[in-house]
Order: sequence, then structure tokens, then C-alpha cells
Amino acid sequence: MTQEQQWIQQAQTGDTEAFRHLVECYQKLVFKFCYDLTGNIHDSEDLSQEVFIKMWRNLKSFRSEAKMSSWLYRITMNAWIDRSRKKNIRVHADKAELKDETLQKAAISSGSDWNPETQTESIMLNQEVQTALNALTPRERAVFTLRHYEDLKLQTIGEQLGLTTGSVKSLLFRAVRKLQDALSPVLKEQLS
Amino acid sequence: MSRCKQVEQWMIEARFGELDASRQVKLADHLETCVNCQARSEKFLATMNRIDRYSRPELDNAYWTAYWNKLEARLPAQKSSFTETVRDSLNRMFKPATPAGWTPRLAFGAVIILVMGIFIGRAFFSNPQVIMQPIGNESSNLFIQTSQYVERSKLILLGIVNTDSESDDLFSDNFSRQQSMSRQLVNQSEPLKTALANCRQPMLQELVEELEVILLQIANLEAGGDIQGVDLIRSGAESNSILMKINLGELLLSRPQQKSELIKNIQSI
Repeated sequence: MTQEQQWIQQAQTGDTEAFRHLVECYQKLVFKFCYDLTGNIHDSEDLSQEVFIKMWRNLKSFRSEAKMSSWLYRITMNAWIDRSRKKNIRVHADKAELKDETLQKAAISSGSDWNPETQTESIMLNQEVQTALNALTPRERAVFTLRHYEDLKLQTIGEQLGLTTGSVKSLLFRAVRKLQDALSPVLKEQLS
Repeated sequence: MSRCKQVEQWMIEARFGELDASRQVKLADHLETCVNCQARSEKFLATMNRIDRYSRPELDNAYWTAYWNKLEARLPAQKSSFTETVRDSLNRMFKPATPAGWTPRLAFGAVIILVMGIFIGRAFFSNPQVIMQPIGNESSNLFIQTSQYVERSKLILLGIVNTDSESDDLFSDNFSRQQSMSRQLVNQSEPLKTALANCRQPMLQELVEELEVILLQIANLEAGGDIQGVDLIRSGAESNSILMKINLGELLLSRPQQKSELIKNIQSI
């Protein structure tokens, strides 16, 4: 039995210390996915914590032969789609976000040759991509994020979302088209 | 679907490593000759390049320590009810006999057998007087109307269920024709249900009711390709075994029709 399986078994009996170890193992993965879906740190934190609370509540139904990361992706997607439906939230990457310290940190960390110019460029680029991603529906965004950033196969995404591979493909194609449309003014500007 | 539209899909699949080798060759061949697709490909790759440069925040250890503290404060007590304990024990007992993924299939199989049993039982072994009761001209027309309703619903439903996502235009599933037909049929359902109820045809009435729900779902599909809606209809049709019910309904309808035709023939003689 692996260390993780031991923690799962212990956490299933209500051991919060074992659960903490599990959270530590997966918090970055879940948070990263939540960030790709929501586009800001505040919502990512809230959504990822909701995911871990759901994980805690339903841990007893988790089968040890299943893959924990897949299970967490599924919980995250369902939580995200539920949230979007209920609140009809569309995260707006508006100009105010430029002042977001954490985003600036992100920009700093992404550039090895840091200087104020590259920092600003990186912030602008993140903002553009965020705005483009915000044009997608929750499902389109989930499919695109899982395929592009998390590198999951279309078939696996279909299994996670309860959709056929054809439908997942269709969502991905539409997502790409919308992203192209949203980013085309920026790209034209760049080319000119 | 035009070649260029197909190629656009292949471009995306190729970028995500989901395109098979033979299609990759076809894609490359097409890109060599088609100027429009070359431009489209460049635009697509530039978009993806832009998206690839998108970065996520790297958060420090202090953030993650605070993260757990916040989470711990929000954790509720785990439920441990009697039913959960029983369910867990049953899960453990049956786990070796049912490999992962088989439970829903077994349940689905059981439901199909059950529904088939009910329909066959009602169709062939119930009181024939109840089923075959109305054979006058009026009821004969009713059976023909119902038969047409069921047949048209079946065609619409098959059109939706059998949409081939691989070969059809995935950018815009268009079901406008099916939707307008569905609307027409939905308008016919109410008088048909009333007439079937008056003629004491509970099975056919039930079938029309179920079809009406599906037709309403089809009529209400959002324009421009409502994938979620289509998947919902597909899964609903699958779980209700509606196509099998339609077939059984048709079987049931064919009997009174034959009988009414026989009566007509006798009258004409």
C-alpha cells in the first residue's frame, strides 16, 4: 500500500492530519486548474477550497483503485460549472486587475530576464488571454483548459465530463474559434 | 462538409496531438495547395502561441500554510450515517464480483430487460379486449394518426441520436429542421393523448407522453449547436429505452390497423 493510499484510508475515518497531507499533495494541481477556469487568485482560492471540502465530504465513496487526480478534476469541473450556472459569473479581467499584486508576481515569476518592460508585457499578455478565455462558456473553458494546459486526452475529458469524445471535440473546436476571434485584434496589431 | 472546414478541424486536432497519421498526411497535402487554409493555419498557430505564453502565478510557502489553515476552519464533520455504513459494507461485498464500470452497465441491462418484459407482457398477454377495443372508423383513424406521430417522432429522434460527431460539422450542429417538425408534433400531442385516453389506450397514451417530452427538448435546443442539450436528449433516450418502446408501440399499432383494414375490406365486399 502506498503512502497516499494510507492517507486516504486514514482520512476516510475522519483523520484531518492525513487529509492535510492529501491536500498538500494536490493543492497546487487543483489550484492551477481553478486559476485556469476562473482567471484570478481570489476565485481560484475559493473554488479550490470548495473542491477540497467536497473531497472531504465524499472521501468515503472514493475507491482506492481510482486515480485521485482524475477524481479531483471531476469535482473541480462540476463545482465550476455549478457555480457558473448559479451565479452566471463571468470573470472580468478588467483594467483594475493590472494593479493586482499577485498577477504582477505571476508575471515576474514567468520571466527569467525580469525587467519592468517584460513585466508589463507579461501582464498585458495575461490580461489578453484572460479576456479571450472569458468569452468561452464554462464547458468550453473546462475542455480547453484540460486539453491545453492539463494535457488530458479528449477521451479522458469526455469521461470526466460525461460527454462523448465527439462532443468534447466539438467544444474544443468552438473554444479555439472563439479564442481566435477574441485574440485576432491583438494579433493583427502585433503583425502590423 | 467542405474540405477546408474538415481541414480546419484537423489543424486543431493535430495541434493537440489527436490526429492520426493518415490524416496528418492529408492535412499537409492540403495545406501545400490551399492558400486560404495556409492563412488560417498561420492565424491558428499565432493564437496558440499567444495562449502558450500565458503564465500562472507561483505562490510562496506562506500562502500555502495560510491556505490549509483557512481550509481546516471550513471543514465540516464527516457524515457517518447507518445507511452509509451499510452501503459501504455492500460495496465491499460486491466489489470483487463487479469490476469498475460494470455496475451502471448491469443496471442498464436490468432496466432494459424489465421494460421489455412489461411491454411484451402488456402487448401479448393482457386482456385483448382492452387493447383491441376501438376498431370503428374513428378509432381506426386514431391509430393511423398515432402511427404517423410515432413514425415521425422516431425519424426525428434517430436524426438526433445518430448524429455522427466525427463526420458532421462539429462547429455548428444544426437541427432546425428537426426542431420545426418537433414543434408541429408537440402541437398534435395534446388532442392525440386525449383521444387515446378516451379510447382506453394507456400504453399508446404513455408512449405519446414520453415522446412529447423528448420532442419538446428537441424543439427547445439552442440555436448554433446546443451540445449539452443534444447529449441530454441522447442520454435520456438511452436511459428510457425510448427507441425500443417506439418499436413495441409500432408493433401494437400494426395489429389494430390490420384488423381495421380487414373490416374495411369486408365492408367493401
